[in-house]
Amino acid sequence: MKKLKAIIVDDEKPARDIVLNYLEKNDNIEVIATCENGFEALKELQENEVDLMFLDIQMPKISGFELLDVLGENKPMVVFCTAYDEYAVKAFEKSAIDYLLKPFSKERFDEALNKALQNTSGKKDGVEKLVSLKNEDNQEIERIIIRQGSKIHVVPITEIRYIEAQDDYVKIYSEKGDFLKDRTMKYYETVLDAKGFIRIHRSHIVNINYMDKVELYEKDTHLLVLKSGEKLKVSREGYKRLRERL
Amino acid sequence: MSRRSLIIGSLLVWLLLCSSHTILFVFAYNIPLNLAIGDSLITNTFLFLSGLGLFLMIQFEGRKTSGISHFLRLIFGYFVAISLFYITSDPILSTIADGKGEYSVLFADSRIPRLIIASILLLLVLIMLRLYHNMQSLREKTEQSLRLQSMLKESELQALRWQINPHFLFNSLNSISSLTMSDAEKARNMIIKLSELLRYSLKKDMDAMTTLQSELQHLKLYTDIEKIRFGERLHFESITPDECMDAKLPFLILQPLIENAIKHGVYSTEQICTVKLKTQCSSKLLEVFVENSYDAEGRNTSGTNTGITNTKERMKLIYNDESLCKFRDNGENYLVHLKFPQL
Repeated sequence: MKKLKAIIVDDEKPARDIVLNYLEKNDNIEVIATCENGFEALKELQENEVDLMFLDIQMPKISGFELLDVLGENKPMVVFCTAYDEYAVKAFEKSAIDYLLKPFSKERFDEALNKALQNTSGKKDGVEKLVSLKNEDNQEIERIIIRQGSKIHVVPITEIRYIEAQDDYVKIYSEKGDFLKDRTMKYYETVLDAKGFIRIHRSHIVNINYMDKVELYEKDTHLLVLKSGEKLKVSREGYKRLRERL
Repeated sequence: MSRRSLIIGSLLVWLLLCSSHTILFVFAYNIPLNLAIGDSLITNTFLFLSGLGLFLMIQFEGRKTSGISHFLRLIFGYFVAISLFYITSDPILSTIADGKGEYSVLFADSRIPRLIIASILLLLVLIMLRLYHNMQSLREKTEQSLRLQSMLKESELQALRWQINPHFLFNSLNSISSLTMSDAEKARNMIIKLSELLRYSLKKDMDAMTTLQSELQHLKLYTDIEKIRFGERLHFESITPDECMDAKLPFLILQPLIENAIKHGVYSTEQICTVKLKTQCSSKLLEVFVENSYDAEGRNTSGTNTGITNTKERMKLIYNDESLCKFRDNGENYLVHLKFPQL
């Protein structure tokens, strides 16, 4: 049998060491790297083929969940290792193989490992995927993590001017620059609704704090002018929503 | 028994008195019905009003319901009620009875028995009201003590949560678990430190005051453990002049702040995070500054600052002064400034 390639992602050295120690005795697994944070992990995942990832949740700058988010479809099997028990449900929604609560025993660790070994295809089935999409939409977010090649950008939502629909992607216009993100407009409309964002058009969601004024464009259409000078079309529905909120 | 049923009950008693009074006059003494009804209504209404007076007196007597003065007041009230009944009902009835033959004779004869019956009835009213009042205040007391107890329990739990953050505990235990394999002596050291830390946290109650020295010793244990977890990424500095060591401050007030500083500093950046603790003091005031660097980009604003909120709350509870606790955030550093008045 081919050896599984694994990486360990945890910001605390002792925590990495214990997983490393448990894995060293196992002939089916080869640890190809240990990473201190999400950035190192992303680099590793891009440069090498990784089958299995042991992932901490609370880590510097970007969390384990945010790392999974930027990986998109090409992620390895994931076993979470954390002291927080409150994220278990979310972890399984992200189709995690297992969720280990620190400190964990060798027996419990091997159990998780066996699940991974039996699941070497690494494919998630459609049902799980559906569950994950549905539940994610209920959460509010504080920032958006964007990956450009091997770089990760952290964009706080307060720095986003507006979001624009672009085919299967959305384009995020922020103070840090413009980024493409593999998500739907519907998703951002839901998670940003309570955060001061309004969908003014089929293809635009705007941050209230960056709005300047609304001008009449044609008989039934309006034009929204941002403080930056950018002009965006407002649909009739969007105009109604704007008037309700302001 | 609710207030409503009390009112309905006394009205029923009043009706019963009225009707038996009328029946007695009509059938036993052959008094015309209209006179009998009039006499009964007047007598019993004034009796009822006197009873109401007693009720109000007992209600307003309030908390202090024992002792000789309370008893004397009740006796006094009782006689006032009887006198009021007599002074009001007697003149009206004697005016009506004037020149009414048989009724006028009966009225003259019944003055003393009337007064005696009224006295007995009012005494019964007084005793029943007193018992009712007792029952009510007993119930109030039980409710109050139950509420107090639940508040106390809640604050105890709160205190525990202040002392030991479960994530800190589990992550530390995980580090120990790891160290047992790589470095047994380091593991043993960490167990000892963690034990000392827990022992300190559990030994005193949250109202107690302690010296800066013992708080700093405790913090040293705490940051030592955190350094094993985070390694080079955490840099901790502490500057305290020797003369401040005996200054007094509330027990375990600093640990949540350091914990908060480490959490928000270390998890915001992949670089090194610095946490500084500085103290200065005079004979009247001890001042503590806790500062941490952070990376605004990696700042997670959701679900934060319970440590800060708790500290604010405790400072307010202990010193009753909100100005003793200040926070400053300049986008790169977060600074907490606490003042502890020295008594």
